[in-house]
Amino acid sequence: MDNNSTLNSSIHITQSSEALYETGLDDEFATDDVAEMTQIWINERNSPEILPYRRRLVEDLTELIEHQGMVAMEGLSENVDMRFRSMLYQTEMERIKFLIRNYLRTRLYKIEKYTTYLLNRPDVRERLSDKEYEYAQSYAELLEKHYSKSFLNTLPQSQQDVNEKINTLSSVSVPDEYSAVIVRGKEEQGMFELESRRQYEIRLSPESIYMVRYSDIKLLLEEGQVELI
Amino acid sequence: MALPQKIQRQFSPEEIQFIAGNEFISIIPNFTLDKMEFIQTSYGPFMPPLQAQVPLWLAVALKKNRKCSIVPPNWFTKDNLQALLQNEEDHDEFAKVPFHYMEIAHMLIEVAPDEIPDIEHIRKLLKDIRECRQRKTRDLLGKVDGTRLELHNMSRMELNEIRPLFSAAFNEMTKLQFLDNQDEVME
Repeated sequence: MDNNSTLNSSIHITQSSEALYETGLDDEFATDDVAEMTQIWINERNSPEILPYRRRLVEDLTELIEHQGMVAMEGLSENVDMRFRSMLYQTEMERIKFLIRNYLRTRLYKIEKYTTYLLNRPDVRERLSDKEYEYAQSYAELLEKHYSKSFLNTLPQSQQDVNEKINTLSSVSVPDEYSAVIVRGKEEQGMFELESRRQYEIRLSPESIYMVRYSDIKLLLEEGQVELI
Repeated sequence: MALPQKIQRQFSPEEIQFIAGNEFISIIPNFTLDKMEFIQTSYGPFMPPLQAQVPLWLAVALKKNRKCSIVPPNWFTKDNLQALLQNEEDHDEFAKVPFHYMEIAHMLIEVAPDEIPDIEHIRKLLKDIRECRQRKTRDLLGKVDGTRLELHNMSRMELNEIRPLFSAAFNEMTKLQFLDNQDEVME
């Protein structure tokens, strides 16, 4: 009985979200994987720090592409209509592949830029996928070997540390939390006080676009209340 | 390099165009086909002369294969663009435009020039609207204070264009504020 009702309610949810999609064709925030991946990619491109890796989303889409690839292949041997369909399926697949590739490359770019910082901060390290973590580690090793071979070994022992830190002076690159981002609310949610300056407010609404410090909207972004543009 | 240098600070125009590919547009197909199951969702059935709603990328693919005609959106007519320009010139704030108006206009003119009445006039209006909005953008630069800058009604392409200059100015203002605060603490 209980099982049944859960099943029913989940079916109900699927149906209503489908219905929502049918009526809201021009709604940019429709809750499908491709739309979500697009926004996740845009967020990643624009945020100064690396954001949590969206494993499920990437895996789901990769699977969908593989499946669709087979459907498209089958179509090739059939009649003109099917070949035509296949061509259109391919076009969509290429678009989604581009999205995923660009998303992963954006993350690699940040990993290369902030390697040491990422590896030294367990809370940030958590945001990487297993493969990204491996990549960061070997990239760090590679850099260290290269630096020491090419010039650090000529310096006195005390000056050979790549990640030197003296009081507040550090040679490790860290993402700039205060850097500017362009943002808007996903839904109408009224006013929101800026963390850095309480006398300033922004309106959370799809119609209201602002340039603000990343640190001021970081939490809202994590909670999915805003999106970067 | 994982990410080419020219797209580290902003999207390329092609990438903005890619994003706009998800916007919906009406087409009139010249082929009959039942629903097609795409990864994102299904589109169709396609039955001429009935209009169908498809994303721009699909409309462009169909049009390039001469499989449909594209129905330009309501705002994309001589009269409506004229009204938009008037509105833009009459007010200091940015007029409300479709978020992807530049990309959609660009694509329509490129792939479906045969379906746009008064295309030369429309081109001219689009140019005037753009220039009027660029003037407002220049005035906006003076308002950058490192805290919060309102950019309401700017389109995605415009926001991406101002990004490198405006964020650089914004970040410098932020640094100045930190210096001010340090001075206060020292006094």
